[in-house]
Amino acid sequence: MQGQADTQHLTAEEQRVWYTARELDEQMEKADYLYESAALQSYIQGVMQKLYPEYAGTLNVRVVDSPSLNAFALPNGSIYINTGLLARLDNEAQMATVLAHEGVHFTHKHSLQQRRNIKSSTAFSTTFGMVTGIPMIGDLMGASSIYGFSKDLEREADAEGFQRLQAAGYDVTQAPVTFEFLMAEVEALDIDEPYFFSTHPGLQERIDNFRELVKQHGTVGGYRGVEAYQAHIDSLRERLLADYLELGQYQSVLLILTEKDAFTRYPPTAWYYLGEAYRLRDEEGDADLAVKAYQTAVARVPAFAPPYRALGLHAMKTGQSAQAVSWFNRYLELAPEAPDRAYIEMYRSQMSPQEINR
Amino acid sequence: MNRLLCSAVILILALIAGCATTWTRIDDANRSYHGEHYSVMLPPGWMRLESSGNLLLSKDGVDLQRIIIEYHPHDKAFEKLKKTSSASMLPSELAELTLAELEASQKDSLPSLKVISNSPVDIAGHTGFLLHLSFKTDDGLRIEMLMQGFADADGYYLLTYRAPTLYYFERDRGVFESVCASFHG
Amino acid sequence: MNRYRGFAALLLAMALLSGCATPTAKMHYTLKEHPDSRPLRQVVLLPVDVDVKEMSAGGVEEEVPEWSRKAEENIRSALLVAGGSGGGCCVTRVVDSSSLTPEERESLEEHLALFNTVAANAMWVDLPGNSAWHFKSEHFDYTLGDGLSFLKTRYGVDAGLIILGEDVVTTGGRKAMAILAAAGGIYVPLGHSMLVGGLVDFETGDLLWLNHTVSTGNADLRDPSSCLDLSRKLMEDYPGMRALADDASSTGD
Repeated sequence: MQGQADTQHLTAEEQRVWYTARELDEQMEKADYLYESAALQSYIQGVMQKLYPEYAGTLNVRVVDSPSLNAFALPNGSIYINTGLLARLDNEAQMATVLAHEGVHFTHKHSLQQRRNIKSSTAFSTTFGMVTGIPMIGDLMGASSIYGFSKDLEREADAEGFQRLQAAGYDVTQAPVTFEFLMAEVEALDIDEPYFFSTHPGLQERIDNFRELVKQHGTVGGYRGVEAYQAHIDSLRERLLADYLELGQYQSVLLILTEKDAFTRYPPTAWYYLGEAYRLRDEEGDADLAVKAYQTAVARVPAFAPPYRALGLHAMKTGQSAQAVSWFNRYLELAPEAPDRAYIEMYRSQMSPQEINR
Repeated sequence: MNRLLCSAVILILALIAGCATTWTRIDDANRSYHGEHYSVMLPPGWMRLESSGNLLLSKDGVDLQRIIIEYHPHDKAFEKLKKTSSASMLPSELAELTLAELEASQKDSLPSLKVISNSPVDIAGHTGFLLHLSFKTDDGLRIEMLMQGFADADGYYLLTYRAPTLYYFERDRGVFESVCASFHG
Repeated sequence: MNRYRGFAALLLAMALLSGCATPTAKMHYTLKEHPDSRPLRQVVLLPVDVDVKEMSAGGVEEEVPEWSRKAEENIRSALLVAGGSGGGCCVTRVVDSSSLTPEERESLEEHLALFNTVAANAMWVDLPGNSAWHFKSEHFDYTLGDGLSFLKTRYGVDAGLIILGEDVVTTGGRKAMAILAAAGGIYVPLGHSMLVGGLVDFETGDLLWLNHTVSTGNADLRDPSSCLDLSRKLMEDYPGMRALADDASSTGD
């Protein structure tokens, strides 16, 4: 993070927004919002350095531990990107598209421009909320550089970011693709546009803009970085599935894992999460689909414990006590420290003693 | 879970102060509560606020400690998730949905939320769940929660205790446990 | 960092609802019943946390860090004026966070966050309409727990004084708008200055004294003499306190 000495060259106005940004940085750390992984941090920072070599040490990327699709830049050069967004992207060129865009907000001082616009506005609201000042950390979704940016500034960020992407040697055809499949998710889930886009031009408009930029300026080839990205993001993908289920967002899991070639991107343990998503959706036929998915997980990753538990619970609920106990036993053998051990032991004990003693 | 911070709850309570809903002090004469869906013994010396059959209890102020006792009909058990409960649900399933409903109720997901433990518990003659959670507020104050719940033929019941980890959580935990022990659906 | 923001709106509401006449200071019930029961020979001032913000014509508030630092400096000077001869409780030293270990600093930060919460709840009970809770003011027994006892050892003091504050300074444009709006019968909120003070017994964590003061429009924490006046108002009924010096120039500014 920039130290106090780094702000000496800033104007008084710039120092104010920098100070507010630093406060948010500190709050993010204090509230345990960050995803700590030195390897991932180093990889993403390396990409940022490729895009903005002259800003090394100034543009600092930090990963937020959140499944939502969001990224934002602060006027002190801190760039935040969520694990959820990282997990949903396909390759390094797509991540670079997002980082390049966010970097422009800093290099072009969009915060200051926006701040001046807001402060000179005569429209005002005088609710109690105004007394409390800037958005709190719980309002991160509105914290695209604290005040949010106008659509013109966002378009500028897309266009300038595209230049950076090209200059760094990335495959610029990935820029529109970054948003195309996210758009598919938004439409399929019938949700409001993800927060990353809520202050941005509409998704379709961005896709159209990027396609136009590719047509006008794009060159053939360029680096995509599929394998490098996969190697660093693999664990985040499984984590994203678990996070979605923990939030009850099984539709997102179903959407992701029923995409074409999903299992080339997600590890084989994802079959278990697919099963859980069917179980939670609980529509007609979902129970059978869930069991099939769990069984696939067991076949592909025999040492992965959770699907055994899931199969045991299904067997128990359908009156197959012997099978249930067998699955539960295997689950507890593989995961003796399982956090839900007490539940499983209780369920097991509620079934016939003969089965338990086998 | 930032919306469970004192600022939000205190402001909400500030706004309703003086409205029809009133706090009353619990003493030996009124500590036995018999509502439409449940009965429970309340801790003397605490304060209680009742709304639509749900109870909010506190001793020093709702951000220092609070116990919330809720009843939900099955079809309104998990409104954010648009899921229902049933008497046949496993306690682990109820715990799973309770946690998801809690997270879905927050404006942002809560990265600092940790599940310290999740285990079955006997409550009101039923097997329910006990979740022990922790998270941090945005100014670094650690908060812990206990959530006990179960479902019967009537509906879904949830008892929650929340307090800062510093001093308050352990101090008043026993009160929550006594309330839970006295609970009947 | 603005720990204060959590209940700034609450205090402003209380100030507007209850007016300035209502006494606001609270004293721990043991001190009220037995004023000499807590020997408070020495008190240390914990890191002062004040945010001074500028409110634009459009009502947007933004902290101005150099103003905040100035206000904190003014408050320290105002409180340390009281130090010296005379016995009773004197604020003679300031906790230097940089001298604490990282664990101690983290503990102090978390306890200050807890104070924020305790103070907000302790004040909330006084809201009109919360009459059922008023016994908590009469029998004031709030605490932060004994987690700050390391400061008693480190500084050789009995208690710590916590000061939080917020000052919202309106721009000329905002004031002009308010005048115009008033002519049309519309109320436009202008700035305010608030201070909250608490005295914590390091041994027990008991909150021995809690007070707050709100000024809507006239005070300015950036100005040493205005800050001295507001600090003096805050420190009314402060246990064992001697009156702050009258001469603002004695603050050294």
